[in-house]
Amino acid sequence: MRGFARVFAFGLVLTFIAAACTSPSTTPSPTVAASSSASTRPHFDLATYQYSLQTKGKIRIGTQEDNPPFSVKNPATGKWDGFDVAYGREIAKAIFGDADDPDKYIEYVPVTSATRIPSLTDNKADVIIKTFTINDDRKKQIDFTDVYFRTGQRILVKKDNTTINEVADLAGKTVCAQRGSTSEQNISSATNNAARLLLLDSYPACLLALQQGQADAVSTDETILFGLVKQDANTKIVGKYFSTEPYGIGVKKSVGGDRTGFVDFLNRTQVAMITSGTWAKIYEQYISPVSFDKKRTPDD
Amino acid sequence: MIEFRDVHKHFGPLHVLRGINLTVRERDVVVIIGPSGSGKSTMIRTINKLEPIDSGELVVDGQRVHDPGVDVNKLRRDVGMVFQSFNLFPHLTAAENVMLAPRKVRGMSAAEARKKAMALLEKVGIPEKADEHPTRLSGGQQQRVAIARALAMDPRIMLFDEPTSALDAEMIREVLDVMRDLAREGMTMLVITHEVGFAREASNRVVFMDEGRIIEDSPTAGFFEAPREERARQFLSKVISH
Amino acid sequence: MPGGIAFEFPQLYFTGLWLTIQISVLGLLGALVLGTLVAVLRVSPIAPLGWIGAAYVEFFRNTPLVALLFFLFLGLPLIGLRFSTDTFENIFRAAAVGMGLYHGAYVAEVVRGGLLGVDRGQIEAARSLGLSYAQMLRYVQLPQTFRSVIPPLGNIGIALVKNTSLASTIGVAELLYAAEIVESRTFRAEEAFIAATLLYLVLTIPLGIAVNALERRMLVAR
Repeated sequence: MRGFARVFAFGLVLTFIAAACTSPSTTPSPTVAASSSASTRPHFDLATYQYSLQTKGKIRIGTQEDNPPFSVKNPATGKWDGFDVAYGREIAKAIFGDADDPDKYIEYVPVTSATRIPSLTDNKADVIIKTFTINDDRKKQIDFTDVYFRTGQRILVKKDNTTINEVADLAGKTVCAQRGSTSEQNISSATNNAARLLLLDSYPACLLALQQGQADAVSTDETILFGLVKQDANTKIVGKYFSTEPYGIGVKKSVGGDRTGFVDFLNRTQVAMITSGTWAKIYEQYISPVSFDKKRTPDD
Repeated sequence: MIEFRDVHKHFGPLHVLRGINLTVRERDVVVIIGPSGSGKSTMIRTINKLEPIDSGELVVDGQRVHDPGVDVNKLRRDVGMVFQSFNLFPHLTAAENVMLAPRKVRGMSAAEARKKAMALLEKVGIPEKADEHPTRLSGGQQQRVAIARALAMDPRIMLFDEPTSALDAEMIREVLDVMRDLAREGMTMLVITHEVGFAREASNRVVFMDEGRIIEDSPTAGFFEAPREERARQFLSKVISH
Repeated sequence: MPGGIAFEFPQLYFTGLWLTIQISVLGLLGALVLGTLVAVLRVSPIAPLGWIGAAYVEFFRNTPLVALLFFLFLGLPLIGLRFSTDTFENIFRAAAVGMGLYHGAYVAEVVRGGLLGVDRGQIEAARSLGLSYAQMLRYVQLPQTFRSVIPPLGNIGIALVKNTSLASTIGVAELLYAAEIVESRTFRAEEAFIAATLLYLVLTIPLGIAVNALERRMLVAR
């Protein structure tokens, strides 16, 4: 039975890869949008970026196709799901009103860790909502919103592993992480470059590498590891946090006023989500099933 | 040495050999004539099994060619063949063309094979072209190299399939001279050609074929002047200019 | 200087270049050997051998290279096979084998075309001298084929060098991988990828020139 699950999981990875090459963009029709929901639409100042998005009738959200429990594109239906995806839909509602299905206004742009910043600077996405850790280096390149999710990095090993208990035990071990992520850099600095890094494009691929003994451990943000444990009950999470990972939404820096008021708008939207209980609701829907806790705000 | 007994052969619906009976003795030089499509070429190609036969019996040098157990590569060493279009190997020099089979099939050393190749090129009159590639040789020179190549395996029988038809007139002579010398040395030869001069000078028998059958098989002496068969007479008067 | 960033991260870029070269050379050798073998099967007079050759070509031509690499890396262990117990040796070998298998299908098609292009008369001449089918292939048909297929094989070689970048998806620290790491460390995306591109060109341009020179020499030799 477990053998079958592995083959199935491997098939899923292949499907993800195939899907990444052919993801259809869901471009909504601006005219339909304007007529059906004009009455319920929020009003924005003409100079703001949210106003220009509303006028265009579309927001491009960059996220990953295989990053459970934050973002997953169902390879069979093409439907997106996860915490980051639900958060993006709230932003779409805040711009276009909540009369319609928010996916009507969203164009999903598939990204990986390595392509997040270029997708913003090359203006391929309006926002990046993808377990995106705020740090000073990145702030020089792009703008971040306030923290919308807080976690820290831990280690995933097979259940029967007794040699790896803390980050120091990773020295000399093969550790899988996503290429171009802060996780990868955290492992290097926490082990003084003593871990051997196997850097792949997604954590489901890392999980397969772990299952087949090609990696001794997977290390990244705890919440992502929760998602992996849920996929394979034969694994466990060990060690304390060895980094704190405050996630923010990435936005291109405003050049000549082309993003005026946008970060403020996103921050106000988050405050409203927390006040209304929407943030707690999507946490409960996507994170609680793997973390077994409940939160009302990112800082709980 | 070669014996056809009621040999038949089809190409799909086409019945190209319709009961061939022919006996070739050692040292025979047989010239085969006949209109195109009469089965001449197919007939001599069955001798070294380039074409398999459908029925009948074909014995070459004591071996039944179409027996499943017969080693066709061994048989072919004893039967040299010269083609209308020379078919030299273009990536090899003249000498290398001649050396290839002795070296790879007989396992001769390079030096020995080279010596043999040079002797044969001498015999066909172009030792000075030994290290040229075929594209730099004239048609007549190429065909002489091809003859040397076939002789390199010391065959007991030589087959010639229209060896001069692809040559310009001024080169035909040099090739025929080599073939005539070969005949004089006692080589057993089957030659498809319409060169009457060569036939008279070098052959002892003429076989006339038409529509997959041997119509006439006569001694050369007298054949061109007075063929027995009406069809051979008509063919000679139409096709062959004396 | 364009590509100067490579000298700021020589460890990443130049080990990446070296891995790219190794995978390219091994993959190309594998593809040539396999492709020639498969082409010989395809033109063989024995029908079942021809089917095996055709099945090989269809299978590997219609499999995405990334999927093939993933299969060699994470699929083979499911049936208890791996190229090495060391993960990094394993992914390196998986990449080289994947390049060989995949491009072998393209080589096979080119070589098959070359084999069929050799005049039938020469094959008959060789056989009439007593050369076996294998000897005829080895000494007559294949040498001429290789002359005629050098330009298309050169193109496959260049495509192969570029396709080695897909080895990064299974974690091989080749050139593209180096560029991605440097980009995530420095955020200098353009510079990071230009440096990798220039290093790929350092491999592919001389390869193209070499193929042209070889082609000219072969022409003169004929």
